[in-house]
Amino acid sequence: MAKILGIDLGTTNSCIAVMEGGQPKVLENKEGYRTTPSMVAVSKTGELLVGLPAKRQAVTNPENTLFSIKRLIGRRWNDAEVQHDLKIMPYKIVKRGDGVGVVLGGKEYAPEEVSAMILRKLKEDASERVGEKITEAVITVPAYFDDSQRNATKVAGEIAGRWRNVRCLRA
Amino acid sequence: MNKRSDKGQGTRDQEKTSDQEKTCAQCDEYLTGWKRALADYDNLKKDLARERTQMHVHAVERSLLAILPVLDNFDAALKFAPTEVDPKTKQWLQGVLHVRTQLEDALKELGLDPFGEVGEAFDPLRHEAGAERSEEGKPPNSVLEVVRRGWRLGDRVIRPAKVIINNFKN
Repeated sequence: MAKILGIDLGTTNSCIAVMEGGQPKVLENKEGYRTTPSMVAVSKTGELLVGLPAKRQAVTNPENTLFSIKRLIGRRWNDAEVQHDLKIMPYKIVKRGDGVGVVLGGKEYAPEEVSAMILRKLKEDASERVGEKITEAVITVPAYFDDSQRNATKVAGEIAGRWRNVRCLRA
Repeated sequence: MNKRSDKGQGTRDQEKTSDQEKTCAQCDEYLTGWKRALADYDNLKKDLARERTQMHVHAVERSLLAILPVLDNFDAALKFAPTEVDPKTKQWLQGVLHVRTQLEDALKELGLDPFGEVGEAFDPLRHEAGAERSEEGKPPNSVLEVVRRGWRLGDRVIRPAKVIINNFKN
């Protein structure tokens, strides 16, 4: 039976696990760590970096290093959280219709697309560890997430994996 | 009479065949089960061996990560070693230097390799940017200073090199 991937998509770090013998087993990422920084960056040489490499260059490339994207996913431009983040985030947050977008390497992305980049890396790392293709996933969302935030997270999952089935679990 | 006994014989034959079929089916089931159990056991052995290797690597890595700051501090202290000292202190300093080299050699013997050189291109897979500054005449995005050396164990980077990179733009 194909394995279902459990993804804890966190604001700061993310974690992946599969069930093995009735018990959850946390999988290590490609770099050998059990957690992956939820960060995406475009380096000064134009390379897309996800996870630990993105974190390692964040100090010298803050405007092109996205973090805490979970704070923006599924939010509206007028939300108090978005207006607060506009003032404190080193990267550019822009208005996209009613929602928000972020600028990375001169291009505008929806928060779902950025989360999808993180989820794609997690999926690839998991497939490599498990040694088989993963077609289903469960992504955690906080209990306080509203429908819009939950749906946006699900969209991120679908963009990332073209999974047969993606579910969001309130954690 | 003969007919009746023939019929009885036929029923017994049928029962015998049915019993044989049942036994064969059971044998097949047991054989399949045994083969599966054997394969499961083989997989378990492989999993345990893999887990044991991973545990060993993690244990070694954790111990080494705890020792590396000692070597860093040795290096930091030696940077400020006094230059004008009497011969006796100079000898003592040589001894300290030997202890530092001994520690580094021991780490290398355990499979650790240092990396991080001034002039190489910044690579976030091996380096961690600590700061940046501008220096003309040196390639942009290159390492200007190694604040803390990086270490790898085999192919795996267990500690990235902390570096200062050049943000000079032509």
